[in-house]
Amino acid sequence: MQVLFTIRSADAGYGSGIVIRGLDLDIASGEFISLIGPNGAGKSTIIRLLTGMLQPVNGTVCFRGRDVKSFRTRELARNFSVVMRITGEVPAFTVRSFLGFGMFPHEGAARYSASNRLTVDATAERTGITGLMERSVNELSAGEFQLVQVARALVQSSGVIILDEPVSNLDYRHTTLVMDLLRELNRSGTTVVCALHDVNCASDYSSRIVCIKNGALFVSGAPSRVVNTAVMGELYDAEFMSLVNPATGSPMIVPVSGNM
Amino acid sequence: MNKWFRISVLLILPLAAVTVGLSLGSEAISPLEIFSCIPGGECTLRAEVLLKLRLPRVIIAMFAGAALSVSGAAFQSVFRNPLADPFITGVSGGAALGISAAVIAGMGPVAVMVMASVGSLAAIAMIYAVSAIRGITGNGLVLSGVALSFIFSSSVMLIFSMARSEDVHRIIIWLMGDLSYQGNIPVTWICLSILTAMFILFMFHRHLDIISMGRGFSLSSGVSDFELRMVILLASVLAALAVLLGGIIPFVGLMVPHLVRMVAGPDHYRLVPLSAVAGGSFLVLADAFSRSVIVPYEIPAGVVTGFCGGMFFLFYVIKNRPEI
Repeated sequence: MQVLFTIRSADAGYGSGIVIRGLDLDIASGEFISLIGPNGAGKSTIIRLLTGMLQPVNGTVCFRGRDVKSFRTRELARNFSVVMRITGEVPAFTVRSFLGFGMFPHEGAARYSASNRLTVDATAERTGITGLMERSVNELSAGEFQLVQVARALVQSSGVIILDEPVSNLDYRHTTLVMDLLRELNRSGTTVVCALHDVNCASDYSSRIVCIKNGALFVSGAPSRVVNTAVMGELYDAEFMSLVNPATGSPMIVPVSGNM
Repeated sequence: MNKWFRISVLLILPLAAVTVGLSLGSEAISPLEIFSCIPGGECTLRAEVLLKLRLPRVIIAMFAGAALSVSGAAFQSVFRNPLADPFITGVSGGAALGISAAVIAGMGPVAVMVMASVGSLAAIAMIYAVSAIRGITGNGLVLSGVALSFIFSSSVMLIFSMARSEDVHRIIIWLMGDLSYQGNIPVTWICLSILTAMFILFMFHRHLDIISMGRGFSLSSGVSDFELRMVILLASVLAALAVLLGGIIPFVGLMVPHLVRMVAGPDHYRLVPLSAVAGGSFLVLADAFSRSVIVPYEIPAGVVTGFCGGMFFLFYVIKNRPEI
């Protein structure tokens, strides 16, 4: 498998504070990677490092063997797409216009052409949001908007999608819809990297789980290796019981209450 | 259909505004008399004289209003802040300081304009430097704009405290927004520059759409720092050009883009041209009102835009409770 991202002994942070220390991480094409770890461990910082939004203080971040910072902004956007939470008030674009933003790195300032319209329509159909197309994005529920965000990312670049906590504020139905969509995309060749809070969700969907603690790689491996009481207990400083998800067969954990 | 109806109203607006602007004043002339002065018609002497006096003023108001609104629309999208206006980066403060210094030094009208340009350019250069050194985060730029404005306004106050009272009066008239044409500014060139800057900014309409979703979003969608800086630069230049034409006219650049957004939606393909048209028309009407409400006095147009705009906007905010 081809290696897409290579992070080597990277230190990174904001201002004078260092969040990530000496991180080494490889991400190969076709993987479905979940970054998990306690609040403030550095998951979002790693997402920002991968996407070139944040430059490491030391060390390197490479995409396909080339330093991320040597790419032009638009070139990076053509190679992978990012789904982050949009803070503040979202302007009232229609879902159709919003999906069209995904074409921007490919065509720049030109207006949406007929072929773009086809791409947008096809993506909407593939992601099951055709019914939302004429609605305004600020009228959608959080779950619907997240599906639209993933669809927009898909319009932009179907090769690699990087997501920062895509399901943290969604209900069960929309969590399943978004994660199922990501799995389906992954099966058809899209590399998925996402920061997740829900270990069981990560266990159900990922090919590899990367555990981050205190800004460093704690452990990384298939869900069957990582999701157990010993590793999770040490990662989160909490006590867990482990089970097997009867529906998927993947390992899962439940926190033992009253023992913190 | 409804949307297109509203958009066509916005296109007819400037023609109506120009007609009103030409006919109102200390002495009113009817629209029919104005139309008779279109080449080929039979123009009365009275109408010809009034048109010659009023036409430059209407043109100045139209272009200053357009520049302010487009600049405000761009800044509101860049900073994702409904309170952003053309003067948010300190351009008006820079111009005010330039003007005050020039008036106090006894410079002529042309030199005053030059100093106003130098002041606004200094403000733009400082904002650009801040964005290059500290990166472009919405709050950082807005806060440095506020800081710059305070530095400039304190300097202006310092000048006031040392100036003769007639100089202070001259400066204040200028600062209040004065659209009268005194033959001391190259109106044609400034208007052409405004058109050019607005056109270039319009070419960035898709950038602006994406920028209005936030910096993280726009960066990962492929909008580079350079492109974002270009947009900020163009919007600042538009604000500076408007200040050269008509002084510091408040509120047009804050209110008009808001209203246009309500009518035409957030798409800058429509927002930029419609803001230009609506802002220009609004200022022409405000100026016509300021010339004709207390004859023979002329209230500075800035007072009218601030007062009427403020009242209207207060009503709008209370009625619509926007999520700010």
